[in-house]
Amino acid sequence: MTETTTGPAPIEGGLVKLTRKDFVADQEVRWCPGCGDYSILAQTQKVMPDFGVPKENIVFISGIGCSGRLPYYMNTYGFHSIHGRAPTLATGLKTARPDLMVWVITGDGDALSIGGNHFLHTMRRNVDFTMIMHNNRIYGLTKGQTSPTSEFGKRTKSTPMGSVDRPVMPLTLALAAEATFVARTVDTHTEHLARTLEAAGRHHGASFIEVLQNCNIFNDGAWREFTERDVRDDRMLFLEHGKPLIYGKERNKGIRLRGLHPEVVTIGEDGVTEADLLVHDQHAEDPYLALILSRMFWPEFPVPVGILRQVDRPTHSDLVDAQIEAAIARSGPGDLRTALMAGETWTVE
Amino acid sequence: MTTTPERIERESQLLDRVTIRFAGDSGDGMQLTGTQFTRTAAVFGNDVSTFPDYPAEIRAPAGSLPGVSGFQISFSASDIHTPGDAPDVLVAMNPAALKTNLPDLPAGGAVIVNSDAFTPSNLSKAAYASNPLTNDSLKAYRVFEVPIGTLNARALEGLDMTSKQADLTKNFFALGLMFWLYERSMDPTIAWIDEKFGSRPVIAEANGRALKAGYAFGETTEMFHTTYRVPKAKLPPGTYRNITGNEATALGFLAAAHAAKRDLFYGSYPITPATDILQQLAGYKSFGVRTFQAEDEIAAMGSTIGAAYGGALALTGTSGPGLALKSEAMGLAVMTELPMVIVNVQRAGPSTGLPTKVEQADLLQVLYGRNGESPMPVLAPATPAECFTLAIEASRIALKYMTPVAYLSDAFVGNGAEPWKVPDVEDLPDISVPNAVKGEGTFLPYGRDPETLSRPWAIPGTPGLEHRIGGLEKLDGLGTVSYDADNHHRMCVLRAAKIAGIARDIPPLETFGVDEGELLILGWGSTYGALRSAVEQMLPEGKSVAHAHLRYLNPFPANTGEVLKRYRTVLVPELNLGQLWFVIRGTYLVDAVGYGRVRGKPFRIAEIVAEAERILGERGVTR
Amino acid sequence: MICPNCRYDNFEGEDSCAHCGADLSLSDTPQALADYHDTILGDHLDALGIGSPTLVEPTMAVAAAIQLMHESGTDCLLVCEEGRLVGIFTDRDAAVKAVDKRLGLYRVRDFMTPDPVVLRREDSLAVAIHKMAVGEFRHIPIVDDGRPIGVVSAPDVFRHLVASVG
Repeated sequence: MTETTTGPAPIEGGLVKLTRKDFVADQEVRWCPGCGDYSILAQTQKVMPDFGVPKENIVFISGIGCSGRLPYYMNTYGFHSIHGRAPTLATGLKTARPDLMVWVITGDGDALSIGGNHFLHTMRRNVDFTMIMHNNRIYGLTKGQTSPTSEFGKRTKSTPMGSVDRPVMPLTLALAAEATFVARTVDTHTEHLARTLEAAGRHHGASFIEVLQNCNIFNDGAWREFTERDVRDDRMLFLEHGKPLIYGKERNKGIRLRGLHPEVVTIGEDGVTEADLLVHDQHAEDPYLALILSRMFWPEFPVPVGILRQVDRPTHSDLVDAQIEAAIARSGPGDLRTALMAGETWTVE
Repeated sequence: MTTTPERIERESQLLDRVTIRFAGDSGDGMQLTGTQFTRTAAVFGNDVSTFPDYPAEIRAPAGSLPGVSGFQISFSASDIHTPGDAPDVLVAMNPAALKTNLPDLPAGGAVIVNSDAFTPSNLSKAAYASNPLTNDSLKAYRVFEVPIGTLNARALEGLDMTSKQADLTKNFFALGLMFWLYERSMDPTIAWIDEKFGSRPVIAEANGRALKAGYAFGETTEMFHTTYRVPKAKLPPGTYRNITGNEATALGFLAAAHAAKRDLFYGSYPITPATDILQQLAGYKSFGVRTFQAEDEIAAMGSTIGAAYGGALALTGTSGPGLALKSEAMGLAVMTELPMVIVNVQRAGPSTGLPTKVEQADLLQVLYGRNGESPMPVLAPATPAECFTLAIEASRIALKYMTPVAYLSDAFVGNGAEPWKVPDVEDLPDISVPNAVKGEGTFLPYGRDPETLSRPWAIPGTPGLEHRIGGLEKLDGLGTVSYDADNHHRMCVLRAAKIAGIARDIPPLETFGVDEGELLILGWGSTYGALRSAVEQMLPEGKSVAHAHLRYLNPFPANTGEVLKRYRTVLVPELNLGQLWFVIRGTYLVDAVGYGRVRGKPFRIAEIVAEAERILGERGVTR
Repeated sequence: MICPNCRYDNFEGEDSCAHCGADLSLSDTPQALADYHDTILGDHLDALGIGSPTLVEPTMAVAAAIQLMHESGTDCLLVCEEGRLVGIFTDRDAAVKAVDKRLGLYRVRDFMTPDPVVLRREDSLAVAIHKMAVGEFRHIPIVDDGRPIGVVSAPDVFRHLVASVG
């Protein structure tokens, strides 16, 4: 990808090829130094040109939280909306304007606490957008309260004796809500993050990405135990469609199914071979494998990252527009005069 | 039934206005009877006004009190504005209907009952200790006992249908009888029956026979000595149809989208009494109307904002409790200055209140019920037909001034019906506004039009105008996030000025009655009918009264203050405990008198007259 | 649901037919048993037509009483003293109690069921059915302030049910 300094370079056919710089807004980015959001922003700006979508057709909608600032830093159309409600604006926008590419930027509190209901329904409706959830297991903007993904017993200013709530697994929720694209990635693994963003952007349907993000001020190191560069190969499971579930620096650990449960095995020990392992199928029609993967977490299991599920279903806009076309095909384009005169009329001379 | 050889002595009485209330079981077909009578009266040329009274329960047991369904119709030789304070005649198909509706019938009124339904079983279901037809309890009324069930069954003898099916047609018998009593032709209904039941000749035959049997019964029985004639009213020429407020609201926004040359988006959540609007708009897909049944009220509002952001003519519809849920999002709409309409079909509150009953107690909520200084224009239609024109007007203001607009309807105007002169599509105003396009220099998302103070509408998809908006305070002009103290003050003042400036763009407040004098009756919303009728009644008596009715509640029409000054006393009757009253007093420093009733029912003309006369009396005024 | 009037296919739960306006609320609620319940619980004994009962004195000879039943085609007699009901004598009493007796020696008061279970005309059919089932009798006298005004029999009940529900 070429980076130009003088603006987008036209290529054959008169199409303008955009670059990362075209997507950088002139606002000074104000996240805390060391915040994982910088990485997410950078990779988002980097992949945006690859879709070949004109800048003016891209909209970023965010909720409230540190993640909510992201649209201001993207040189596209953007809407910093209210807490938890970004998916609702996205649904209205996509329904009225199916031609636009819509991204929803949210956080673990915005999406799963106040926004939980809208999360469920936008996924269920398969509204064609990509939802990037910055999951830092804390409420950062309001300075450090528990979130729906915080661990049981987490001590914060609002839970000084430890949280009495159990966390939810966002990927399981997304799968339960019938999301057609479910993936997890990490803020620090930039190449994986970029690839995941690109796959999600290309998916025609509701795409949900959980980004394990580090809030270095209010919840530093929440994921470090397995995302740290020198341990991640041993503690994360990089999913690839069609490949067996193998991980580990020596590529000698795997996941097989024993009854209904996943089981960590070592290839070569106890007669275990690669043939015994589960093979990843991200396009499986049913979500059973994806559900199992969504329940696996450190330390019992390596943390699966990548695309858990990707299936094709008609999107909300596809179906809404199809009904409009069907209605027009059945009775012709709507005639206002006929609608006004509906029912029984009479004339006064 | 053969005609009797002797002619029965009868007289025909001329009346200016009649109000009939049909009441029966949910299964007695009273809504159909009422709408057929209405149509016939309207086609004949009377002015009509109707109001249905639906059962409180979805499916109450047959014959029980919560299952009573009613329909009131008032028809007249002159212009009428209400469905009538009280009925002149009550048609009660069973004891429960009689029990529920008799208290509304004035002494001397007529009661026509289906005597077949007055069985011990039905009487006990209606909590009657003894049969009112045989004890003295109905002696204040003129009671006509008609064995409708039996006579109807007899008329349908020989037809291939069960006795249950035959019984279902007895509402046509009652209709036929009423047609005879009020000298109406059966022809429109017969034509309707033939058209609706063309594929079911037995049913068509049965309904037709029932109708004619009812008519013939009136003709041949000795029970009725008088028939009544209500002459035609002088309605302006044109094509008319009967329309309810909710129907007119839906059609109004469909027309507004046409007039604005934009696609219509409606995001909504089912809630009584607004659900009809969603269901009607969902039927207009061939117009490109996109309706969205959201998962909750907040999602409905969010989707409306998203659609507006995308350039659609966006609206949402709800009732009081839903409006409360939408408050935060409405504030976002105000801050992002996007055009949209928020329809509130008001009902009795607080909280869940009385979902099917009328009230107008959400005014203060739409004016002030959001955090911060969050001004929003407010409109309120006065009649069912006006719901159409005001829907277009609300859209016009939303688009021109780049603001959400509140549209306050209510359960009475929403469910009530009146004749509506259907406008020509060519006569609809052009309310379209342009989308912003890239021009010279830096784009200012929060730059202002010098006249309207509205900001440019740059919709996604427009090259070169990429910008970000949101709920945080904006820098005047550039529209970036700004925490500057003076900027925040300036923006709040600007937003308020933009809304206040709309006053230059709306019609002045008109008065009906004396131009200046003792008493001005000032109202808003669905109380129009009762207030106008009250003043119409008092003027010929030489009373110094006038009626003014606000359609614009924020901002008020520019001349409102001046109008109020022309009268010694301003009376504000409202179906709340004093909301417009409060705002009028605060805005104009006038010692307005309130008359608030929250009974879940519309005002009666008589009570407005009584209150007006009480005030005039207090002031020592006899005229 | 299909409108019973015009056969238009309406959405479930509609209050009235979108095509012809007919009320649908009676058609989509369960109805079958309701008629039956209405009749049993709602109808009162005077709706059965309790007829004019045959009255006799307690001192009447049993043979004469049996003869009277045969001639008038009734299967029970109400026994009264000074106009007040004191007993009931049915064909079953005749068959069971009088079978091996010399009839000439006995009076009705010897074989009647004294102080029988009675009902009033306002009582519902349900009460009559219940009493007949529990007490195992087929006739119940109807009284008004102690004075007999009729009799309801099991066949009367069946006849009424068939007429109402059919």
